[in-house]
Amino acid sequence: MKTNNLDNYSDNRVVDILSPRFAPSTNLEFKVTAPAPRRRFIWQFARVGGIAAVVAIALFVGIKGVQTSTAQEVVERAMTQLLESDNCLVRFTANVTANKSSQEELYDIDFDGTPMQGTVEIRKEGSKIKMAIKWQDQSSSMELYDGESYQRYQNGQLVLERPHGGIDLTPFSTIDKLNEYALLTGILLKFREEGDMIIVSTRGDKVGIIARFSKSEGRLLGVECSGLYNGQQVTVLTVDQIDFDVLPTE
Amino acid sequence: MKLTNENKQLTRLAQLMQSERDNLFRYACYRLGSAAEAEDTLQDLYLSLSKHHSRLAEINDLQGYVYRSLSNSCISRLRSRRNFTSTDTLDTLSSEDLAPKDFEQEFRLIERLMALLPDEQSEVIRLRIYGGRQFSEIASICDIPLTTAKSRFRYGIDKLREALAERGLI
Repeated sequence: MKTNNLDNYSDNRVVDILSPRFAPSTNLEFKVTAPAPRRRFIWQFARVGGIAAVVAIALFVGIKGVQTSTAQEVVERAMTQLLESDNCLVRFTANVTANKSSQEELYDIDFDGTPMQGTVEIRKEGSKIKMAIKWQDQSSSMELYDGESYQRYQNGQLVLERPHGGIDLTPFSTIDKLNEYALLTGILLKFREEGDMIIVSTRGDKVGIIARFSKSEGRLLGVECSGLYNGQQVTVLTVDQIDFDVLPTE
Repeated sequence: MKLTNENKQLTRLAQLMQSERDNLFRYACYRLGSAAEAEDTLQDLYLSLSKHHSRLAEINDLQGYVYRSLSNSCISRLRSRRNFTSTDTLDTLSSEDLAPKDFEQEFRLIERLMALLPDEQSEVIRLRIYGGRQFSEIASICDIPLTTAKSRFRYGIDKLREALAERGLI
């Protein structure tokens, strides 16, 4: 009997040793929502499945003067800054191919594409939000969403114009709306802190997006969008810099 | 609004994973040794199961299926690691090691102990202690009789007890 008691004690001790004391916690959420309505959000110029959020994330995290403590707070503040900012300029590099299948956009982002630099400029004018995408291609192409129409310029000449309903920044207004949109599109946003770095990442079917920024410096360190293609990790889009309240470039 | 069968299955999956989130996450953490990797694995699993939602309707024990899938996902991740985590033997284990101060130390200790056991015993112990499963659930997840689930746990704990006692650690 004594031995059994000792065994029981030892067994409990073994289970006690194995029991988790420092188990990390998670904020992951698993939700089902209705299919996303087909609306044109500002990030839809990037059309690889799941890639669209890259610009959104870049806009969220590319902020100045961050003094907050948690990733969620930083993102909240970044979104507020975006919404309150009169304009912002995002510089990016993307692997692109000419979009031959539709007139929707000039370029598709593509694993096989050629690297090309460009900028996205978002500007508020009254209740309207205008967006210009400028490509450093041979024709100095520019795609302009002016709140009422989509216009495409090449070599300074208007080459295409069609009606367009405007840009919607609503999904950026709160972290809940962002998460809701991310879930609608099958994207899960994840916030993680590693030392001074806050990392916001998403993962779609084809690509993953990682945005890193320094908490102490309050600046974006970089955003990358990459995926596996032919067995290799290929970066298809990099957001290099974001500036707020810059003077209009046109 | 009438839910489509597709939505029903997706809702069933999401609700299950949400309600089991902490247990699934803890299981993955103590399997992989990294909270970030555990989150990635759970995200991947959710996306993968969502994509094949039509198959979910055929699964009666969805919870068991999710745990089994998670276990397989963790094993795949561990196999794909280029540099395997080195597992020290118990010979160098000290009583100080039995009182870890953070998750990393705790994970290393548990890995060293689990390395002493056959996979089928360590899996039952992991599901029980980190996944928070009942033995009947473990039996279903591992597709074994209830008595086998219990005996694997028993034998595993016995072996660990003996190993620790031999070294004067308990």
